[in-house]
Amino acid sequence: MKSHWIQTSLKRFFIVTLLGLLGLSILITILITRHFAVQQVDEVYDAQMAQTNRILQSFLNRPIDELDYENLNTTLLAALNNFTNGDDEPSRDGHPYENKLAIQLWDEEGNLLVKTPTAPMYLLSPLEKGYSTAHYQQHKWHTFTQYMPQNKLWIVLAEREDIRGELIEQSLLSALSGLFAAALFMSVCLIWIIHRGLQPLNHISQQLAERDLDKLTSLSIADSIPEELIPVVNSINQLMNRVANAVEIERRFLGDVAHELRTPLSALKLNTQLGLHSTNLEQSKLQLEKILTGINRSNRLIQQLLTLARLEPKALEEKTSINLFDLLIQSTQELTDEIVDRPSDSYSLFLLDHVIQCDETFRQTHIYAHPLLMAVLFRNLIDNACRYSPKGSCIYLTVNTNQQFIVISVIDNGPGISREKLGSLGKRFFRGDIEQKSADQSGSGLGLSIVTRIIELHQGQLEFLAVEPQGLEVRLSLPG
Amino acid sequence: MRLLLVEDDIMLGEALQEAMSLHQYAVDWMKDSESAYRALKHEHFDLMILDVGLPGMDGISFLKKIRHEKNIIPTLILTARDTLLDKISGLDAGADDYLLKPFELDELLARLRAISRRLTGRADNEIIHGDLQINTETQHTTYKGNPLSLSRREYMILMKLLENPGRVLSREQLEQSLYTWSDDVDSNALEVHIHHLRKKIAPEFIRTLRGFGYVIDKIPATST
Repeated sequence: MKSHWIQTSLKRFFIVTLLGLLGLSILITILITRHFAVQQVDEVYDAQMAQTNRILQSFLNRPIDELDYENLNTTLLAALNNFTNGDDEPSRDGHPYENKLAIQLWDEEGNLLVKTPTAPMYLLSPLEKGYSTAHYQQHKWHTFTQYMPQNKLWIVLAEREDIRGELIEQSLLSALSGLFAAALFMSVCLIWIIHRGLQPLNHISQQLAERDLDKLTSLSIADSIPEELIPVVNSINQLMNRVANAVEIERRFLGDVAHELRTPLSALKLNTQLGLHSTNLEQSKLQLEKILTGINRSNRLIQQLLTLARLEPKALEEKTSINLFDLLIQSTQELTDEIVDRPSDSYSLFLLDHVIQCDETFRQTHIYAHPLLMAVLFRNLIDNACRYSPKGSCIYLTVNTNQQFIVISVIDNGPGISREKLGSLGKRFFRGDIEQKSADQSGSGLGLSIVTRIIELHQGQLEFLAVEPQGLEVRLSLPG
Repeated sequence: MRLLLVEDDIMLGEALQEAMSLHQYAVDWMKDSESAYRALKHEHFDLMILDVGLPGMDGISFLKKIRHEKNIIPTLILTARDTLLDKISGLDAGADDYLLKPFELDELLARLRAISRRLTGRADNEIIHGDLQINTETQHTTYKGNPLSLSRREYMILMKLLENPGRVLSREQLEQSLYTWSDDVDSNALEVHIHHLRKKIAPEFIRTLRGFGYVIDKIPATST
């Protein structure tokens, strides 16, 4: 699944979520403040309305015959009309909001006795004591109704809603303007903090961008790196060291390859020059033979190098069950072109210079492995054994099966190898002691590297053991 | 000139030994640094050709080791590694020169001549000693304008003495620069070669100091 655009950047993620949360908290604050402001304003206005009503009552609450409605109406009209035509600004004489107030006086039969011009001709609220609301001229009105028992009249006081609305808005605005300023300041700070907080990451990525295969130095753990990032930097440094090591090993390997390829080339070149300068035909022929040997040797080396390079884990998908003896015959044929004699009922293979000897168990055992790789492995082991053991000697192959492993041993009676050099076996381009060899005998130094790699690919183990009184045992353990 | 060749590759070693012997060098060939070290301890060599990729101790470490022990044998290293770092580390380890494999035989010879030129403080390949004139590149030798036909050994003895004019070289010193270990040395072979040289050049050209050795006298600075 493709990740959301917010999650692809820490900075974006922090800024969007934190500012979103800030906005949400401000919204909640506004709602709560508004709720309480409405309550407070309503209470004040309701109390004011009640008080006005009582003041009116104190004038009007007397026996009905004592009241002069006509006069009262005219006086009221005159008094209230006083200001209705004025402008919208408050003045010494009054306030334009006054026409948002209305008064009605009703008798019990439902006759309207007195009303301000702002009030309608009909009842603004039912004739019941107390607070109520009504709709008139597209406005909501709050009403307060009282009954005067002395003259059995109802007095209705009304006040337009928007007076309160404006007050609420005003007070909310003044209360929240500080909050908005604080939120703005907070947003700026948050963005700066996020930017600043992610700075070490930028610093690290900058340092990483400067690295390449030639410069795999560790990242510096400067004071500016926060302790939470130190494990990250340490892990990166460890990785860097491993990569640097791998690169160094590869570089050394390349150097070794260059050495191994250029040395026979030098010999070829020298021999060619010597041959060219020689006036003796016999001498020239000798040089040509040496050149041929050198070419064969270089060819073998290149083959082995290619084999080593091609050993990839995915080759293992083609494992099958293989008979060890078949494998032995196959790889021996590839190695020497001819098996001189192979008695059908015996366990020996006679090669030109060596005898390979195995036993009945070896003939019967099957291993589950990659056939081609195993052939390469056997070829290398037998090649090594022949190379390092005297002509006419015998190479023994044995197999033992235990609970976990099939253990195959290749034993020769060559000079073996000194204990301190046993560890170097299997390293690329390591060759056995040079003194005993002629130019033809020297190997590529890659055979056991290839064997090691093939055994690794099969999750097996490889051991080299000295044989008494002389010789070398190569022991392979393959998972059974 | 006695030359120590340290090279583990059999083919290259054989070819180098043959080629160098053809060019008037007495070559001893060691296949690893251990035996080369022993050889340097016990014998005198004029030059060393050292392969970098040796089994056991590699060529660079070996060179550092002998330089640390104040052995100043002029050394040319053979290397297959062509990066700048490899060249620098080889020269800094104490090599006088290096040659990248695969190399031309002629270049190797020229570089060896250059090293020995520097060693003897000469400006070119011409050695002039009185009436004797030798071109070390072509090995062409003349005395009073007449070409001399010298055998390989005679040439080597003459060169050795000419490189140390005025210095008495003992029989052993001369023999060491003349013969490798594998050479069969006849007990009076040196006398025979000296005799032939005197006959070809001039009897007084090489002086014998009984009980000490042989010397070619310095030419006194001629005032004009």
